[in-house]
Amino acid sequence: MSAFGRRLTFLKTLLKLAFGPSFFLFALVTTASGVAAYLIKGPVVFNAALGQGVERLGAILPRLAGALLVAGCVRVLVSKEFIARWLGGRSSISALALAEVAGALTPGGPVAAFALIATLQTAGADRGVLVAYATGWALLGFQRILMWEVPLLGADFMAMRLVSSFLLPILAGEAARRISLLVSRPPTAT
Amino acid sequence: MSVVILSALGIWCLASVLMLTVWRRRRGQTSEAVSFAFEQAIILVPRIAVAMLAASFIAVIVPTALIAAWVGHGSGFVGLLISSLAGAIVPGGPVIAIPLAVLLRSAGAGIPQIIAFITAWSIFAMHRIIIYELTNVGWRFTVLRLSVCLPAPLLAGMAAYGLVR
Repeated sequence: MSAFGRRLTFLKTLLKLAFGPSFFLFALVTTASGVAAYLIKGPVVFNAALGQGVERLGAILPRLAGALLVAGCVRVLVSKEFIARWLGGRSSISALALAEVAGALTPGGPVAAFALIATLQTAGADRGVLVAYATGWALLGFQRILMWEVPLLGADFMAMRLVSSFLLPILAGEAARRISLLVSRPPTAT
Repeated sequence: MSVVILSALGIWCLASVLMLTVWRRRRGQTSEAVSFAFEQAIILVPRIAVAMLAASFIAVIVPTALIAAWVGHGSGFVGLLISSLAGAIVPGGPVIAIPLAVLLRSAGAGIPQIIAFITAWSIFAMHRIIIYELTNVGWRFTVLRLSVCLPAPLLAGMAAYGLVR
């Protein structure tokens, strides 16, 4: 197959992903809510809502394009080994903070994050560190923040959420470490 | 409108700096970063478009007064509790949760309540726990993580109250 042909099939796969079942489910919900808005509130409110939706989209798209480029760059710059190296620490606040940052910088969805946790768990990594990592990833994962939160909710909202949450993974990790110590049996019997 | 332009400008500045870094340090992977962005854009834009339209339509149908009363800025701790519970039971990924947050905001929910909502969804997203977490890391880790994170949405919401004020 030629390079061009390969690109074409790839594009087709992407479009299939883009316009898959979940897209049509959403389109259905959108149509239904649009019809409901028209019937309940009348054409004036419907038009205003439609206008607002389109205006919001116009605001989102330039942000989204930039955010996706940022996400692509971070994915390239931060390697898996780099992340794993940050998770070697044990039971200190700085180890937990490092784990949180590693979680926030982990590219990819839940598959990548939980696979790494599973690997490190069998390798005997500190429980608190792993919980701080998982919580950092869930709360502050850069990919979700960049691809969803900043474009749709805005940078000011994102900043406020970051400030409100950045201590939570450390607290969660510390709590997890204490609980594991309380219920711990000899380390061989995990 | 100027906020929109400013935040877009900020993101593009960051993107340029990072692109330059990739170009200087990992020259061979520049196209990888760009094609990631391109692929994701193709997948995301149609969904975001319909989701945002739905959020705008639903915002005019839902009883705004009710939402403001339950999870408005003045709803305080009870409002944080309600929005945390709501966030914890959202079935699905960001394509559902984030437009829901946009909807809540335009229907009059308070910023701390929306933060509690997103935090709860991030931590407790049911589909993610069942599909990825339990199968990969086992119930022991999952239970530990969930129990230590139980107060997180409320803490985040309270911290946000401190910031808003």
